[in-house]
Amino acid sequence: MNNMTQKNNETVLDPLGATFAALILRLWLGMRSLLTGIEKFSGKEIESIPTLINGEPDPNGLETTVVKKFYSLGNYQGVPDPLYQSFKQEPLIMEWMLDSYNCILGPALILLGLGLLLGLATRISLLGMGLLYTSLTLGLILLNQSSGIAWLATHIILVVLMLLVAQHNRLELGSLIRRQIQLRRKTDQPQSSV
Amino acid sequence: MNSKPSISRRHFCRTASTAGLVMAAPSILKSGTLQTPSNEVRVGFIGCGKQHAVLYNAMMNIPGIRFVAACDIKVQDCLRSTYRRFGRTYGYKISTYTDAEEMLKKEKGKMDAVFIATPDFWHAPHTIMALESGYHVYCEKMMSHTLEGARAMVAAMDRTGKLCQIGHQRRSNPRYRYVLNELIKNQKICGQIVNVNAQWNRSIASSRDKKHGRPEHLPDGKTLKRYGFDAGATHSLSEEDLRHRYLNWRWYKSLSGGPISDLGAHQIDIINWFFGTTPKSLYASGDRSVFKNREHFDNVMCIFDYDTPEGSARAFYQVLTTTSAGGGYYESFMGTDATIAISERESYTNIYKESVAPASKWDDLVSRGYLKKVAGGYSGSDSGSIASYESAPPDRYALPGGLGSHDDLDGKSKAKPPHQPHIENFIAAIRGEAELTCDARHALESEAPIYWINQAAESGEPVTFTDNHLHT
Repeated sequence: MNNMTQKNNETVLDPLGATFAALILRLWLGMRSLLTGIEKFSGKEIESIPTLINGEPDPNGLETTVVKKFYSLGNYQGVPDPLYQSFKQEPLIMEWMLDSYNCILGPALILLGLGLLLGLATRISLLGMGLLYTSLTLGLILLNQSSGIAWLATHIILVVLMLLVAQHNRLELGSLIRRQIQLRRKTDQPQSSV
Repeated sequence: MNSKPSISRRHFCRTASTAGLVMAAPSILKSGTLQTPSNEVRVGFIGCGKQHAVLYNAMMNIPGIRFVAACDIKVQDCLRSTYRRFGRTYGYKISTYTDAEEMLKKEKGKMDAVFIATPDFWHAPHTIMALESGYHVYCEKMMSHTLEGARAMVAAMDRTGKLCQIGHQRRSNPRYRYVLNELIKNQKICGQIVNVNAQWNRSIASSRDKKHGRPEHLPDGKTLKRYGFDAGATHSLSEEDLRHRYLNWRWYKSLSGGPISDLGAHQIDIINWFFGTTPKSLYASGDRSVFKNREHFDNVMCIFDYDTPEGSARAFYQVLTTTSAGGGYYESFMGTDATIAISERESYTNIYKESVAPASKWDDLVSRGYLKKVAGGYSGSDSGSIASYESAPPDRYALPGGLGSHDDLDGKSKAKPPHQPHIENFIAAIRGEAELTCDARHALESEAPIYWINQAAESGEPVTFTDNHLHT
């Protein structure tokens, strides 16, 4: 509220504060979406190596388990398996819908996250993200998972907040490109018009 | 599972005691080189119930095993459907039998070893039959429901020169071997082991009578009688009675040794193995406290006295089939310097250092990787504690490793099943690459005292062991 002033019954945001608010919200939402999408390609590899006792492998065969995380296209699972199985039981969710959703969820999260982080088509990206979180909420409503619904609702609130301050969103690649295009247009205009 | 053997079970019972007294050559602990393509070991199963599934799951990931045949008295269709999935997994078929004798005869030259997971009263007849047919044998514990049966198995192993591994799988478990060889024997971290406290506490829910949802899949009364499930009955048994015995053979004296042998065998084996000797006496108590109609006691407690090279020691063991609380199942070796509470379940395993044990030695062991320190001693300072009664709290340590993992058939890594190292040892011994970790003779040396617990608990009389009680 400190960044707001009353002027003629209208709430005006402090421009610098609003720019920072937009930047922080954009970074948070973008990172959240991008990494969630990337994590859908992650898997764990359990490797056993001989346990070293006094610097030598244990002759009794004791082994140490090392868990390694890795990313690959083969690991991809859009909707986590337990949730997928639960959705499969839902009469309102068709299997082909579920399979399509499972396919696009990860790439969609990555694209939307990248869009937000870089500041490309920010409003469109935010709209897409809001719709995506709403669709996820729909599934959780059917499964009656209240905590998950509340968790997604906080994301929706952040998306809405970001949309409200989107006009103050300055540090973005999209506006930079737009400005460059405008500049070029100006310099390309004939001298006679000056 | 069972089938009619050439040695009938009744004939076997009559003659086993004599056979058991024949002391033959020392145990054969490994075999010669295999004569099969790519050193493949071809195995068959006698008994395809619950324990068979445990063994099979532990074998699936051992390379170089070819599954050849399976035998069970369950109706043939049921057995075939069990192994239909097998064909899809491995790309070849397994022969199924309802008669063990037929299987052993027909698979001659096509099979190297047999895994026996039948009810206890069939272990000895099946093992002897398989050994005498020229196969190596892996037989589930308890070796037999009678001491005579177990002795006859040792005699058959010696007579035939074939390998006979008994399913005390902890003997091949790297964690148990590490604790015994490295921590107790080499590093002597326990100091003098004075007491052992071991238990298997199982809930009443796991101990109730088993029922089958589809009785049509069970063998009929005639078949069950033929395979001895009426043994020891004092009255004529209906088909329902026989099927009850078939599903709940562990509660009948003529078919098994009861909970103390069923659950206690593994752990009492560990006590004797770790001490490297057999007990000198036994006290036991038990009763049918809840399951009043059962032949065997549902709860048994016993104390063994030992003379070990370090001095006298006692081991307390309890098997409860009516309560699971109290830490599940473990064997706790309590010494003057430390206690090692080890269990087949890694999460139940803990090592406690007494405050008198030199900290510098233990710090050195941790720095060299012998132990992992988990937590410092927790000093109980609640209102009930009286300072002068309290000992300094022990520090808690853990083993530095475990069984590890393996890749399953789908290429996914999974924790290694506890039976896998024991089966790997058996397979390696068949190939002549290792010595058995628990051949029938060593198993019986350790199992022999267990056969006297029920008798001691029923009579209330202590048993002072002599060679007559324990010889193999």
